[in-house]
Amino acid sequence: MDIEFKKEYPNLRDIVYPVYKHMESKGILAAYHGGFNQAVINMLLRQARLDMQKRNIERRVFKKTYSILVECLENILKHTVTTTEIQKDGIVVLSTDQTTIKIMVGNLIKKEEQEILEKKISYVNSLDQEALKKAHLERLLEGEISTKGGAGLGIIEIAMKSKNKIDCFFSDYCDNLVFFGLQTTISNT
Amino acid sequence: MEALRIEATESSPKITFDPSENFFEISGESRPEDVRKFYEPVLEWIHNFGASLSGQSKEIQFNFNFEYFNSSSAKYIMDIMSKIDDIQSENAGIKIQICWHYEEMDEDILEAGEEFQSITDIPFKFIPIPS
Repeated sequence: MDIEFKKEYPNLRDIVYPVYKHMESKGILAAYHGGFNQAVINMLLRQARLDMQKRNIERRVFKKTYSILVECLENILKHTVTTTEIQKDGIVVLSTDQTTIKIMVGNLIKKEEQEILEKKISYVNSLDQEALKKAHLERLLEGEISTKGGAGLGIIEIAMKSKNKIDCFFSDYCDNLVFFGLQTTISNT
Repeated sequence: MEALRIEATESSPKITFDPSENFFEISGESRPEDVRKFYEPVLEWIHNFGASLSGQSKEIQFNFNFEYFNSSSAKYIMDIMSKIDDIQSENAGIKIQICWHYEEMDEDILEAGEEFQSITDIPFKFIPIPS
């Protein structure tokens, strides 16, 4: 059977190839945008494990990255607004360079949650490692498991394990929804 | 008392609590989809185990050998420690030790063990696993 080769593939040329080149130039190990459920999280974690092994990332750094990635992915699953149009939709990007690994995640939240999250992240960023340990212990002793299955420890653990400040970003998405982006950096040395 | 045996999955740990062998271990990765559903029966088993020890004298080691656990699991691990603490305080003849295993390069699992140690009266033994 003869295969007909077309000369023009606009989607491949204008979308797929630029995304591929962009990701490559930014050191992106893996990226995913779409629906989130437990099976997707398991798949992303399996792949992240393989990607990091392939790049010979030191086991200590790998374990830190893995545990922070779990908290980030579970936050998307637990806290993304679900509407008939948006079914727990989120984005995750894992990138690396010579000295760091970056985990970037994003999802939609309700507008009224923005201030609470901003305050929480700002508070966690104001704490040094000793104060973070203290806050973690207090939360562990006092906190209850929420109906969403969270213990309220995730953001504190991300800061404790990464030993870096958490970057966050909010952008109005539509009437009552806000895009919430979070970035954490892990030293690869 | 009947043993509690739960096989590991990709996201939940293996649990072997076997009174007849005097062997108690929880190991692997803990980030179950429904943390409450996974750990509530474990807490109930420990509670019943404590009641079954009334009047006995023995030494028991609980082995925690986690590769990783998420923050929601941490809350339940603390509840397990607390239940174990109750067993010791309510049974004069029972002497419990917690063996906390950790990969020697994994400072996060070690620190988590030290945090649990700080909130319980049970003696801890930290056991590094060569990486």
